[in-house]
Parts: sequence; C-alpha cells; structure tokens
Amino acid sequence: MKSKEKLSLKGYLLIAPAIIFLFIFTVYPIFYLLNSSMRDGSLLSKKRNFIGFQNFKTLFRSVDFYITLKNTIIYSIGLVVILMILATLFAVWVNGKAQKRLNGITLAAVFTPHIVSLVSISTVFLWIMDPQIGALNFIIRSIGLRPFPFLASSKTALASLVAMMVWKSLGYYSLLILAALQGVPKDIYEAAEIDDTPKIRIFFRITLPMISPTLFFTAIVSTISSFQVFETVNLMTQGGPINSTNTLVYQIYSDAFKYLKLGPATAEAVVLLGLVGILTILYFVCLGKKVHYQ
Amino acid sequence: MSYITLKNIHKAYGKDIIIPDLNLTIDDGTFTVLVGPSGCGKSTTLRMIAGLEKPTSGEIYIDNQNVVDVEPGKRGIAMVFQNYALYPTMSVKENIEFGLRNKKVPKEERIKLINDVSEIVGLTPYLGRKPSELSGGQRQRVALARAMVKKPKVFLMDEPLSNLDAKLRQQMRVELIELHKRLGATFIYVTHDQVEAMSMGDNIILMDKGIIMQRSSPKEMYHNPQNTYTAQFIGTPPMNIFDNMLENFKIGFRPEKTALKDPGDSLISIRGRIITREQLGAEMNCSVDTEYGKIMVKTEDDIDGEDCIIHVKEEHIFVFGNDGNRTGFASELKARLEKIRRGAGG
Repeated sequence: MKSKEKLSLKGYLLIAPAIIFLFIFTVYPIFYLLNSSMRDGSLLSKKRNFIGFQNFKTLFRSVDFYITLKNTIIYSIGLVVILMILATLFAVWVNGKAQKRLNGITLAAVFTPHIVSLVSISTVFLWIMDPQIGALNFIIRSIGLRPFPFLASSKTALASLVAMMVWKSLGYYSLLILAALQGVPKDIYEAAEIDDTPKIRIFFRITLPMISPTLFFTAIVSTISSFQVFETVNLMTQGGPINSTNTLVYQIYSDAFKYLKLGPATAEAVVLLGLVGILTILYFVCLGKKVHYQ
Repeated sequence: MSYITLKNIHKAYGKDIIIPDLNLTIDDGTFTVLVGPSGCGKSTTLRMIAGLEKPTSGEIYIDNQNVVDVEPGKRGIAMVFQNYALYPTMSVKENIEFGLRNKKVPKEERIKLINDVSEIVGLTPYLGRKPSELSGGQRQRVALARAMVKKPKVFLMDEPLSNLDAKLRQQMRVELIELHKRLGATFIYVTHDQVEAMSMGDNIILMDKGIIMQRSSPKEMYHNPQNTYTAQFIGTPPMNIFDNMLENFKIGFRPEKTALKDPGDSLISIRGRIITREQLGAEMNCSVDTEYGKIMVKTEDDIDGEDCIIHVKEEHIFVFGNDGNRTGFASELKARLEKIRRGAGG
C-alpha cells in the first residue's frame, strides 16, 4: 500500500512541471478572461467593478454583433468548404500516376504561399485586388468584362478575403491530404480494379473513407483557424466596407485596443471560445463516427 | 473454367529485364503453382495475367481472347493478395458484396451469393465485422470469399498464406485444395515456399530470373529434376551436387537418400568427419566434411563418434552435365564412380 502511494506520488511529481505550465499559460488565462468579461472599465482603469452578465446582455442586444457573427460564420463555412474540396481534388490529382515530375513542381508552386507571411500577402493582394489599378481587374478588363469591385464593395469584400485565404492555404492542406493518400495501401486499389470498380466509386467508397481521419483533422483545424481570422481584415479592410468584413477577432481587437472597452471585448472572446468549442464537439459527434481509424 | 496462354512475354522495368521471353500454357481446371526465389518473376507473371501489370511485349490469352489491352475487371479473373487487400472501411459483407454491386447484380441474388460463400468459408458469424476485428486466418477467408463470389474463370493467388502462422497455413493449404476440387476453376498460385508448391499444385512451374527451369508434377519435380537448379530448389536440405567427383560431370544425391550404416549395395562410399548434428526427431541432419567438400546427410542412422562413411545407392544418384542439365547415367560413368567406393576403403 505504502509503495503504491509512493509510486503515484512519483508520477504526480513527474507530470507537475507540465501541469504547472498548463495552469499558468492555459487555465489561468481562461479564468482571467471569464472574470474580465464580467467587469466594466477599460485597459487603463485601476479598478474594474464586477457587473455580472451585463457585458453579454449588451452584446446580444447589439445589431452590429450579429452582423459580426454572421460575417465570421459565412467566412468560415465558405473557406472550409471551398478549401476542403479544392485541397482534396488537388491532392488526388497530384497523387495521380501521370506527369510525376510536373506534379512535384505544381505542388511546390501551390505550397509556396503557405510559407510567405500573411502580412506580405495581404499587402500584395491589396494591390492585386485594387479595383482601379489592380492586376486582376487589368486582366478582367482586357478580356472585355466589367471590372470587379473586390474589397471596395460590401457585397464582394468578404468573398475576396475567402478567395485570398484559399489561395494561401490550399498548398498546406493539399500536402496533408496528399500524405494521407500516399498512406493508402496500393493493393486495395488493385483489388478494386479487379473488382471492376468505376473510378468515381473508387473515389467515394475507397479513397475518401481511407483518408477520412486526415479530412476530419483538416476540417477541424481549418474551422478553428478561420474563426480566428484577423490579420487580413485588419490590414486590408478594417472591417469595412460598412461592417461587411468585420469578424469576431477583429471586433475583439477594435473593442479592446481602439475603444479601450475591455469588458465587452473579453465577453466577445468568451463567445468565440464557446463557439469554437461547440463546433469542435459537433464535429466529433457528427463526423467522428463516420471516420475510419485503422 | 478456362485455359491461359502466355506468348513471347517480355517484361522489363527500364533497363531491368524481369522476364526475357516466357511461353506458357495453363490448362483448364488445373491447380498450377508458380514457384521460385524472390525476384524470379513469378509474381510479375501473375500480375500480368491479372492485368495489374502490362507486358513490355507479348500476348496473353484467356481462352481464345488476347487480354493484353483488357481491363483487370473485365478478364473474368479474381485475385487473392498476400496482404489480403481487404477494404478496411467496409464490413465483411460489404467487402464480399463490393464486386457484385459493381457488376450490378440484383439484390436478392447478391444476398444469396454472399450467404452461400460465407457458409463455404465459415464466415457467416462475422459478416458484420470490420476486417480489423478479424484474425489473419479470417481475413484470408474474406479475401477468398470475395474472390469466389464473383464465380471467376480463373483464381489468381499471390502468396496468400505467407502471412499466416505455420499451423493455420497447413490448414488453409488443405482447404484451398478442397476448394479447387469443389469449384473446378483454374487456379494459379504463386509462392516461394517449395513445401506449399509440392503439396498443393498438380502442376508446378519452377522459375528463376524469369525463365522456366522445370515444369512438371510435384512427383516428377522431386524424383526427376531436369537440372541442378531444380534439384537444389526442391527438397530440404538441398541436393548435394559435386563437380569434382567425375570430370565433365556433376554428381548429385539427396541428403535423405544417404546412409551412414552400410546398406550393402551402395555405389558410392565416401569417408568423412561429422562437423554438426541437427536432431530433427526421428531423423538427423549432419554436415559432413569430406575430400569433395561438405556433404549434407539426413538419416535415421545414429552413429557414435565423428568419423563416418557416407553410402549412396546407385538409384539415388543423379548425373548432370557441366551446363547443369540432367544427362543419362551411362555404365561407363558407373564404373568410374565405383572407384570412389574403393577409394573409401570400404
């Protein structure tokens, strides 16, 4: 009995450093955030009074917050859906038998945007998507079409941000999916060939289920990161035009550091935390059962 | 049921020639085993018949149709893979059903076929399970059922038993032989294991470097090897072959056809020293050092000490030419061999 206690004490001691760091850098900030979301005052106040759920009440009464939420969700769904489909198709194509060397070059080209800083890309795309002098509109005009407003119109700004992020992230997610594709045993495909399976059926009945753990992972990761979109909004649109690209994290930033309203900002952060948490649980509940782990 | 003909098959990967020129006919309803060491081209041959590999040149006929440009799924064959190649995401039932669905077999018929084959291979209680929940032997049965349910003309098997443990392999060997009798289809079976080849095939094709070294029944393979390669591939330990006993000839005899106690009518008697003894139960493998080199002896004769005389009877001696091909045992050779006996001193 005594030696057993000794053994468990040793175990706790060994994991203590990790637990301490986890508390300092993860658990404590979350509680600080929760606490802060129930207080008034600003970044500069000496003392911030406890006001209960007042910040949340104000938040859910504000029309702007629903617009922000809607923008974030549309951005997220758009980005994740387009990204997953394109990345899967691209990975399957690159994994194909034909043109091995060319495929390597293509993959490298598509992957490159991932290693470039988002700030640089945002700056470059500000010019590329400029309605007057931008490269894209130059091309559009030169083939005789009407110029596209991109970031300048509230109808197209959010979609433009999605498009740019797809361009930047495609290579990264394709690479993950490609790795999964190459892990599928070749003899399964040979068996399917001998079973006289049509190509489409091979894709849906064999390839997709076999790479489902990776697809599941990439879906979760890309959803979480898309909910936290900030740099592009901050650098390219500042939430405009007319609030059309204002997203959750950008609003948190504006409230906290532009308007110094720390209470509402942290309340929004709590909402974000909750949303991402709920989404992840939903993924696990809805998709988790369909994912095949070896 | 159908026969298969390979005509002038040449297969190369870049500069590596796997099969130089292969000609082969496999008769309808036979159990043919392609056997040989790894890299001898046996798997490549099987995969070319399946359509998973294309021959660099040459023709493959199944019945009277040249199938070189026919898709694997349209050749009327089924294949069992070494690693089973089951669809891991599907249940046993779905695995068996997959090929039938592709062929648009109606549902009632599918269910009947699945029930029939799962009964034959003993999978009925496991139809709802995933392959990962099955043992190696059960997985192999699923692979078999998946092949059988399509009622193919030809079964191709690529080392299907090599991932099973020894006991199960023995059992599956018997089951496969029974299955072949029951179905009457053409079986082509690839293995590197001579025991598997000898025990299962009614027709063995021994290959080396893409060339057929010998093709015959298991009995012939053992009792009548046409060259030194076959003589040494079939049988454990391999046949003793010496080129220093008679000039221009190679003399061979099997370890299990030697005696350490004089049977009285032996043609060769060679004096030697036992270096190692390997007790196998009733029999013993001895490695014996002689003036001609090391001789393997497999015998029940138990002698004390290390010095011994190895006796071989005339009917157990094989004579090969310098090129390795079997030649006749002329009486002139016999006289010369008898000198070896006298040399031993008797």
